[in-house]
Amino acid sequence: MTRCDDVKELLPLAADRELDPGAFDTLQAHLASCPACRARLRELDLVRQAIGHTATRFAAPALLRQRIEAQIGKQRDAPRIEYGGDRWGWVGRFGGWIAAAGLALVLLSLQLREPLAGRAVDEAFIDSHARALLTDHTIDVASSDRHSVKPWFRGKLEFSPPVVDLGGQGFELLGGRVDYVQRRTVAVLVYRRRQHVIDVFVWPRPYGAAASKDTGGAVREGAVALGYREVRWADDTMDYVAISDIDRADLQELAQDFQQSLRAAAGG
Amino acid sequence: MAQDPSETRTRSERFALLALPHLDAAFNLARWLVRSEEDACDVVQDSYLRAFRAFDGLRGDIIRPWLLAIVRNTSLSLLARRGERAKEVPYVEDEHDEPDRQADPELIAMRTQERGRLDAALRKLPVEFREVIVLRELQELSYREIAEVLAVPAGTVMSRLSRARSRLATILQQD
Repeated sequence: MTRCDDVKELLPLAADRELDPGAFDTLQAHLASCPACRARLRELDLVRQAIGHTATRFAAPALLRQRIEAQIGKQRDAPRIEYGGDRWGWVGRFGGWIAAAGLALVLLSLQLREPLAGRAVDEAFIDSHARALLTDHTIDVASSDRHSVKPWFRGKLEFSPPVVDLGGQGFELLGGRVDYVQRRTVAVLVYRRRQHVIDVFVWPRPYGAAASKDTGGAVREGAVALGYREVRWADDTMDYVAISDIDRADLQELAQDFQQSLRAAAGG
Repeated sequence: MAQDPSETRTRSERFALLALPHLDAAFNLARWLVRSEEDACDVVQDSYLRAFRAFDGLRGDIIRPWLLAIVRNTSLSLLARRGERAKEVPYVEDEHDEPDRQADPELIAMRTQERGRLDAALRKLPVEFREVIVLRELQELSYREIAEVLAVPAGTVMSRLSRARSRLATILQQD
């Protein structure tokens, strides 16, 4: 007859349904004649089930899912050179086409290089906006009062971004944050209209850089990606990018209101 | 024509098809390991991108343990960067930590039913123990799959799991 010590190690395995058949038989024989081990197994089983039943299973946030889907989709659009593990099978099947395809690939990548590089730069702001929303980290200083948002930036930035109150125009000021995009620190003003969050990125044009052709109030459409769109404009000292998933018209309106309100403040 | 678009589409579609169903499992593991919603999101997004890049080396339909291994490694790197692993109680494999507590199975069984208490106890477990409990009890992986995720022999999974449960019981009983 087996002793309890001989089967002690088998009990957790039994509870986990990981016993091999030989050990299973040994344990069965012992359990049949040992109430103490039966009780111990039952306890293990109960605790196991209870943990699996009770402990929190965290579900992935919907935004994370969207973000990953978008990311995989974006990878798909980028030109790829490798063809996966099955490369030589691929060569065998398409043998004659390889040389031509190779040449065409070189030409294609030459063609693609310029717009792709441009797009990566453009989408840096959209990525920042999406990341902030994803991680629920849109705002470092929460305030609808521009007089408390503006001083908050002091000490965190080497420039003082203009903060305008657009509540009267239907854009509620939620607050601001500091972000790092394209290797520079930028101020982000966060507004809201109809549950849509709008980020306005602001940074100073490098000293001596020519004011772009945007100066003078022209609002230019920027990148569209991941369901977000952006508009860009500039004034004498700063560059601006506004991003949201809101309608194009609303975003244009925000850009106009922002500039108007700044001019009014400067004039008055 | 030059780059075969159907080839790349098939690849990313195949990845999405195989990997996205495990997103909740991936997030749950990361969330329990790094213990922050924000960091878990970063970890999982990063892991999926890495997985997508390394996807070609993968054979068959064994994506789950492979994917969870990437999530685990990314999570542990984050903890290491935060300097948190150093603060954990160092794990000694042959440490004999059978509890000298007076076992009170009923009390433990009862406390295991309370989500808040159980979650708190799990959070207190050293990460080496926490990860086996999460993989086994919450994700219901087999010993073999867990061994693959942790890159250790199955025997180690067994002993670590048994220590983890015993620690968990101790914490539950102390509280």
